[in-house]
Amino acid sequence: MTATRDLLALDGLCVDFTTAHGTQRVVHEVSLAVAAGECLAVVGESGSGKSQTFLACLGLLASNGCAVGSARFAGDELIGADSEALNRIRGTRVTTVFQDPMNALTPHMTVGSQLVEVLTAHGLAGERDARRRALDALRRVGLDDPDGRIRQYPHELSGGQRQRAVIAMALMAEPALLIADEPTTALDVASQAQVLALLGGLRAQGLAIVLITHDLGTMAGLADRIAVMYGGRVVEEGPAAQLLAAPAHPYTEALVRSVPRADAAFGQPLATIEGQPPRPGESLSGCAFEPRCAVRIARCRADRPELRASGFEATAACHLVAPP
Amino acid sequence: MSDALLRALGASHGGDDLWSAAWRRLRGNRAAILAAALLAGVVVAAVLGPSVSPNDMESVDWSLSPLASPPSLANGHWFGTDANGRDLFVRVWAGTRVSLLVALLASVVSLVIGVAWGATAGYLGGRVDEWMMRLVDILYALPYMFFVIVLTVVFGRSLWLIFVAIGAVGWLTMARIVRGEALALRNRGFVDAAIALGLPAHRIIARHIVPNLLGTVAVYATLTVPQLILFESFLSFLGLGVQEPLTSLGRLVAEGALAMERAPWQLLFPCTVLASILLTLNFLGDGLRDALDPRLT
Repeated sequence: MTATRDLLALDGLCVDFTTAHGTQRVVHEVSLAVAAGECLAVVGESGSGKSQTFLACLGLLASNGCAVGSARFAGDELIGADSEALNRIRGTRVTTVFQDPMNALTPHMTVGSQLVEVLTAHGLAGERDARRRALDALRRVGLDDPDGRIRQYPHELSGGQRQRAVIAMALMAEPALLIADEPTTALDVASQAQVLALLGGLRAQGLAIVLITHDLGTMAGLADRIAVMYGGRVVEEGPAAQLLAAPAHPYTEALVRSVPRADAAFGQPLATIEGQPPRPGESLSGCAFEPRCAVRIARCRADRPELRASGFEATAACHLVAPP
Repeated sequence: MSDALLRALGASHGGDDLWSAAWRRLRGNRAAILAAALLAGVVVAAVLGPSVSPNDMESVDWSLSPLASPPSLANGHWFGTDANGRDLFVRVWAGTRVSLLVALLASVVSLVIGVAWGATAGYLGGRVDEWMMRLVDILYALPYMFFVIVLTVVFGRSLWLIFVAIGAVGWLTMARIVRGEALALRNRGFVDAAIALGLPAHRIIARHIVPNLLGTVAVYATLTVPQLILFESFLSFLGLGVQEPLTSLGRLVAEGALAMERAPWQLLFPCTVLASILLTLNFLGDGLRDALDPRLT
């Protein structure tokens, strides 16, 4: 992976939070890269640091959060950049779709004026031009009756429609990268499928997507590469098909196994992973997954495995991984 | 309130659809429209009233005996006269004019400063918020009468000074209320989304924070107007407000209360006008709050 090819490149990114109990590191030395037009899925349980990693890139951490390391977008360093520099990138080149579409739109503005604002606030278009492009964006995300919707308020739209409007807002300025933070979590199954199909369509049109999710099912067929995070670290990363078919890390394997299947026999218990994920900031000398791991060995407790090659363009952090 | 005025407010606000939509919803609220019409009637009477009557507000009608005459169509004193034989009809409407002016200008001053100050402090938070609100605390602690007395001594007595003085104290409470609301709004998803869209702070405050707290502001502003009217009469009582022969509703009520038993009309007329102003403002404020919330239609 070369720096010139990558649109977004994280290198040794750490995120710390200062709380009453001292400073806690919730993201440890994450290095990931997204190429132009590529879809990277980041999977992990709640608290694995997957959202914080990408919020840190855009300077969106809570006020007690602090990022160290490097995150470059198209060669520009984002960590430590001031809000003016970030504002030139946020909303125009990199846009974000958050988990909860119910809350992501300002209740006092029509959908149209919120879409228009993205362009006018950045000085990218005049009012009329922006309005025309807002209609285009609403059409592009497949919202029915865009001419009517553009004049409606957020509360007049359903959850799925709102998430489409939010995605349309993210597309207004023709970004190069879309960061979708659990875009389907708050939606019903039918809307989930539609939103995922929409993201797939955008991906096919050349938009790079970072899809943050805790649900392996949502990324199948969409992601080019998958990064699995556990306890604030990337434990496995590789091409999607390879990673899902032959997971190298025991955690990934357990995750793949625990996806509920609709065709499972009735009465068959759901596969689960025993135990709890480590608390953020908990300091472990060994592998974070060791207490829950079915195949742990004595070495795992004291010696943390580093990421190493596990297959073609794939890495995993496990002592048991045999080099390809 | 005219369409054009609402548009002007909207333009200064940067919101294209907020005010026109609010106006559309307000028109559907019968109580609010009735209140607005009544208030408009009071305003028209305050502006035109004194010139309709054959009397003026200063001259004493020496033909009366006693000087305090009850309301009568025959002698031209439609609301009667005060204890000094001056025409109450003219004085009530001239006093209404002063009171409305004081209340309106002072509440606009407190509204603009209070909303801007509170929304900025609440949105930015942290140390900025700390310093901005400590300043409010210090101003709160200043003996206010002392402040007004110094102002009048330095700049002399004028109506404008009263507007400034009342407005300057009114914005403190407004700033606190707005700051609390802004603090809560700041953690809502749409503010995060706006930051993620790269909108600068001033734009987020003006377009995403302030419109969301206008409902609270509208209600509080209508509550402050009566306070301001009464505060003006208190200042006048101390000799710091409007001076004789000029008058205000607060002064007329205070004078009328003294003669309540002998000349009830001296209390009745200014009280009725004052009460109807306050009542209509409350209805209007309530309607405005509903109109400013698009979810309520």
